[in-house]
Amino acid sequence: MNYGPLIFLAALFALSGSWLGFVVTPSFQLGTLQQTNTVGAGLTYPLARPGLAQQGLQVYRANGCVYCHSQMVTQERTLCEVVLTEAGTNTTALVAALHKLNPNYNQEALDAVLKSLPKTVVFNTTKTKADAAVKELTQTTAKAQVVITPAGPDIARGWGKRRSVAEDYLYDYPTLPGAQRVGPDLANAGARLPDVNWHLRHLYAPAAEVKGSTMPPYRFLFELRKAGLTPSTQALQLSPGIAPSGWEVVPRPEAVALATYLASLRADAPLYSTPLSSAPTASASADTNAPAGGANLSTNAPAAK
Amino acid sequence: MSQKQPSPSRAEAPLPGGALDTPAWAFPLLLLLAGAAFWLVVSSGFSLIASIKFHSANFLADCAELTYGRVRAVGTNAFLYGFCVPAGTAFGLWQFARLGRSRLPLPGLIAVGTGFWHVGVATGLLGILRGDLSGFENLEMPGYAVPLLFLGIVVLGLWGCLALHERQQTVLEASHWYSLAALFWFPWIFSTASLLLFTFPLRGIAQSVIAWWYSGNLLIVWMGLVGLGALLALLPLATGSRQRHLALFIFWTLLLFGSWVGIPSAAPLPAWMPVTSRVFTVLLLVPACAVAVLLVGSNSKERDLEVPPFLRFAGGFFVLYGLIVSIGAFLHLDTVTQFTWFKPALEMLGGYGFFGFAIFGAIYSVLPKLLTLEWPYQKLIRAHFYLALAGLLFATVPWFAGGVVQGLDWRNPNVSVVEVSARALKFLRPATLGEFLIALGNVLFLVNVGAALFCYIRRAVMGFIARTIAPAGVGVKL
Repeated sequence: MNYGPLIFLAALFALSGSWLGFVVTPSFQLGTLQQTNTVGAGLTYPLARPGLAQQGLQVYRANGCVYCHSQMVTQERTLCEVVLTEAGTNTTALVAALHKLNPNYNQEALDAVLKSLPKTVVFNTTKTKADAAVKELTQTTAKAQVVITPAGPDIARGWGKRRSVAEDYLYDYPTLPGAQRVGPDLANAGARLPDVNWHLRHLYAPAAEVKGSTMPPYRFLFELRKAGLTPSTQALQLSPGIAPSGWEVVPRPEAVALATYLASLRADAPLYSTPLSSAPTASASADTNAPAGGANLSTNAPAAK
Repeated sequence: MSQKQPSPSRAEAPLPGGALDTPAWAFPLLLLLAGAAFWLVVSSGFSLIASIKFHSANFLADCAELTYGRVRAVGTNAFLYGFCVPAGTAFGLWQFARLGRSRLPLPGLIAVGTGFWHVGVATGLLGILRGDLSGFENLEMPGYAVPLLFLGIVVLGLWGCLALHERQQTVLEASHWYSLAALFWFPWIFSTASLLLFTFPLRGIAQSVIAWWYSGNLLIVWMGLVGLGALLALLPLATGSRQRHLALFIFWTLLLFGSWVGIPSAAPLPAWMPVTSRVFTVLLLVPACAVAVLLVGSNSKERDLEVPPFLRFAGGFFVLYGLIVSIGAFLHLDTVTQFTWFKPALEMLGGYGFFGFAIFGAIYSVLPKLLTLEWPYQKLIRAHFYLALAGLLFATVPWFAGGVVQGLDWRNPNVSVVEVSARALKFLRPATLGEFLIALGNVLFLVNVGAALFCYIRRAVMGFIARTIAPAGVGVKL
């Protein structure tokens, strides 16, 4: 039973197969990834994190935050809807078109739709059908647009507006998508909680900021200083009873960097790889050239507000 | 060992000569194993600390070196690089060495490789405690420890090739193929991953792809090769020609399918990568079922044979692991179990249940023959087995259950984050008992290996004294 050479070749083939597939190909396909433009506003995405936030990424890595927090929003489907934004002048034709699109509409429902624009008129459809519907509606001089909304448990939980994509991690080293969620996902931590001071207070005493939190305190990122007559400007504004009395809590540079990094985390720019429409408004025209407005189109611009 | 051995896969052939004539390579190999046993205890100690932190968030929280993330990383890395890799490599080297003459060239190479490797592990673990962990799961070793580890494994592998070259029996058994492939597989994946993650880091998420690929190859292919190699070498599995073909079939399918496993389905990557990975994960069913057939076939024939209990269970755990992984991928259950305690439970089932048990069984049955001495504490072997089995059950069952509950909770946006975490704690806390039992069992293992090392050294010293002093007429009472 000397299959020696054959077995050796088979092993070599197996290993080089997976090596070509999951090492060489990704390093070309993803390792050469470049910045892209956001849909709509056309802003460059992503921007490199500011220096302090980059240092914060290293604090995040060094303390193994990744074992409890993922930075990877999942998405299970996209909802495609048609929203009527303006009724136009030819109401009869519009009503006919709407009735054709949705035979369930009776007169009352149609009146209600026309009174409270913008209104979703076609639910849960495909992109092709939605485009056809928009075409039909605009022929009646009305204005309508397709709205694509990503959906899934993470998005329902408010952890993000869309799934995470390769571009979101472009400038990170190391990339920390994480594998476990002992606590919440942080891909959009900065979008939810843009206040650096909140993050500092939360790192010092998590349970004081989030009732029932099981996160361990990171007191070693702070130092205790004897409180003087006037409190230090850098000291945390903690609720009474959290810091030992007579002492004030001053964040070390690592804590400031980490909090800045957490506040910089947001991955909600609309990209071609993850279509995401802005919420339509009645006044603004549906032009795609319109300047970026609303939260949906904001990119990873500095989060401090 | 000049005459041909009829059945080298049985581990029954006695080593030649009297008690003092153990081959020169035995001692460095014993050192490699003793180091592995030491790191195993370190690993379970740190995992236990990490587990206790779920009982009190304030436990050791004021020390940066002992924060949960670092302690947990030390726990997994001490297990993977401290225990699994050296112990698995030692078993492979033993297999090749005993194919040949008792005098193999350059036994010092094992000592050199052992030195580099264990110093590398110590450097890496201290680095993790200092906060230099890389952030890539299952490869947290800091970049500066990697050259030492690489040098160590290459020197050890080199000696393995030398031993194989010097063999007297030309035909290799199935188990030798497993060990040989493992000997090459690890340096390949380890060097690829460390070059693309540390030396010339790739841009963006490509880093994570490499890390996932490496993890899958280490935990499934490398561990599968070593663990199944040990089972094939020590259990009467590959006796007939049919079973040998089956063993080769398992070998191929494990390499072919296992090497693509590991990219999570939710990964922020072009869709073809997670999809390809899922397909190959489903295909893991093939080697898992083949191993089941092999085990069942052998059981019925030689049931009365005295078999170390560790080895019997290891095969079962491999089948269980393969079934859970592949069926889960087929039914898309990972959309629930991803990001939960299900994953650590699976890794413990594969890493400790399958690989650990296989290597414990191998060491317990091989080392006495290698050193021509009995285990100093026979009863502790049995105690270790029961502790390990109970620990595995008490740790993985709550984790599996907690993982499912947690996964369902994460899918329900009405359950708040705090509630999800609080509910998961109810499952995590009992698992500490499992971690404790495992740690206790590992201590017993270390005690036995340490005592064997002590006996071996004492015997060698006494022998040396007897040979040099006694002939000169000086009475030395041994």
